[in-house]
Amino acid sequence: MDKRFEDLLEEGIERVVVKGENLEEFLALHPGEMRELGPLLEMALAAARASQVEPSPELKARLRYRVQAAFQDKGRKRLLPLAWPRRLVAVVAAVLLFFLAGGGTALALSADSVPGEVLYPVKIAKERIQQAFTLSKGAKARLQVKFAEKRVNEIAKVAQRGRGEKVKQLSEKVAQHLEKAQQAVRSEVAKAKEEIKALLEEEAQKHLALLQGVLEEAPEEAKLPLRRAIERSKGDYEGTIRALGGPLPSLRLQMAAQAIAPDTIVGLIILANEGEVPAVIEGVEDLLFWKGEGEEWQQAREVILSSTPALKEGIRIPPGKAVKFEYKVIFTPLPQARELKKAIAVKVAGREGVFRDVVNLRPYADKGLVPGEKVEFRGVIESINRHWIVEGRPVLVTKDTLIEGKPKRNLIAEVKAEVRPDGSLIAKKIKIED
Amino acid sequence: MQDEKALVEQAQAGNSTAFATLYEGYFDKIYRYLLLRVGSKTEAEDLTGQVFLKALEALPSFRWRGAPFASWLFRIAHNQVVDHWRKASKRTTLPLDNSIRGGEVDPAAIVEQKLRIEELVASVRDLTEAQRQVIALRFAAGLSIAEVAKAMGKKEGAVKALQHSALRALRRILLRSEGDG
Repeated sequence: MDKRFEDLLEEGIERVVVKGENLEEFLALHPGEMRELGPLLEMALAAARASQVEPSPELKARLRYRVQAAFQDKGRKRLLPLAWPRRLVAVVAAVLLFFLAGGGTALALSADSVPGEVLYPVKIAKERIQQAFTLSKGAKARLQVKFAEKRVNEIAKVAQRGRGEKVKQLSEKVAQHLEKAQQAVRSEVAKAKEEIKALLEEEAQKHLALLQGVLEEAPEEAKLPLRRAIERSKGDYEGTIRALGGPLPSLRLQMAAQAIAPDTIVGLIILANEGEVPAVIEGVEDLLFWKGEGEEWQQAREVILSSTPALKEGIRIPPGKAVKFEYKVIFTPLPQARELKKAIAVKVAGREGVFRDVVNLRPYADKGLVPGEKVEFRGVIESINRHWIVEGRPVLVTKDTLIEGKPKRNLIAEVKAEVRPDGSLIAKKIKIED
Repeated sequence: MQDEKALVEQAQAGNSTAFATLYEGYFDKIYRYLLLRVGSKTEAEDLTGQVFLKALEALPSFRWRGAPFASWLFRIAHNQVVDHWRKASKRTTLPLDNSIRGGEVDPAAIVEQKLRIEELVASVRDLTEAQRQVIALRFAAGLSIAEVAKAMGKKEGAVKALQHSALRALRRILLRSEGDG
């Protein structure tokens, strides 16, 4: 390729696409290259314009929150800024002195220690430093849940050693950590609440399962305090989850679909509320995708009608109830499609994300056609696009198709077509009657 | 953006406002780049968040060695795209695009924009990986040739050649698809 031309092309992109100078004026400066340069610069302009999609402000804000929270969790540990409160400086100084006195190894070894062991105070000191360095409310709550997890692991260890009195003390600590998580979370926004609730539900299951396992193997003298600790932790987790704002709506979504004509899919959508609170529909998306032989999935653009009239914003499904919705999709036929997928997503008030279902279906196929077979038929022109629909049958019309008469909907046409290897029809001749 | 080098150094030192400024400055570019590369709005949104979280993790190790910050950030974005496709080949999920929402903006303009980006996404799939990257970095993300070169680890001359071949190929693809039917 010509290096000079590439430099010229880059200059054109810089001036016309980036700086917004006039394309014709730029091309006029290079008449010898205009013929090749013009279309490429037009392509570059088109690519730049097509790419100018604006992300939603809500997305930007939501991700900004996540990134800022992560920044506050991680980003300040490297250096000691000068303006820290005295208390923090004192704590950090104590830890540094401990390291200098050969305590670095001790800090690593303390991770597995339990109450009564020499290194346990080092472990607790480390946790206090982590708390001091954690500034966002969400991060504080998550940290307290993690500390609760550590206390639960310690309960398991001391119970295995038969130390019933330590089990009780640690159980108190679990309650305190969860109380601190609850306090931190009170001032958190709804999204962080949902994350922490999900974390609590997951951690509660894990922790209680761990303690149940230990209970079976624990020495007799530890069993009773351990049982009490399990009950207490269960209550503490449930109380903390309740305090975060109650259960979330939960929907099970199922869809059935069938292609009943080259341009029509019908089906049923069932929404079942499996939660404890009513589910209010905030939005519905339904989309159709298709795939040709050896190709990737694409969205079907020419959807003429997608109708699920009863399933709309504002519908309220009581807990424990299921509702059925019939739907129909009419679209410009896709004779080149080998597979179709019908997808639906439902947004429910009070939940992030959507509930969704996807159904695979085979495109409608004319039965009994043999590839290479010649087909003739006559009927009303229903649609004129890349593929014409004549008497309900889609035919591919190409630049090689001989068309007599003026193409117009609702006129009668005689079609001579051939069956393609994939079973679709390609028109050889179309004669349109006035 | 104000002196980027100073902002990056402040962010590395723990200044959250400096990092927020970098975030605001690069968010749209990263999002557009990812949208063109993965073709799905939902996936692009997820990956955009991942890029900034990864950048935050790796920020302490970033050094000004002649490569601009943009190139470093888009390398992270590229790696996210590679990971995405690696995982996607093991899944059978679809891109489930969000609808066009009405409201204060012109729905017709949004539909037109949506179709344009969809057409572009479909067309760039037929380019080579290197051509796709150049188109996405140069036109979706708006990077200069020098920044693209650093992000791709190539010489500027090689990037210009790729840019030329990519635009030619893209034009051929789009003209071919308009000619069908």
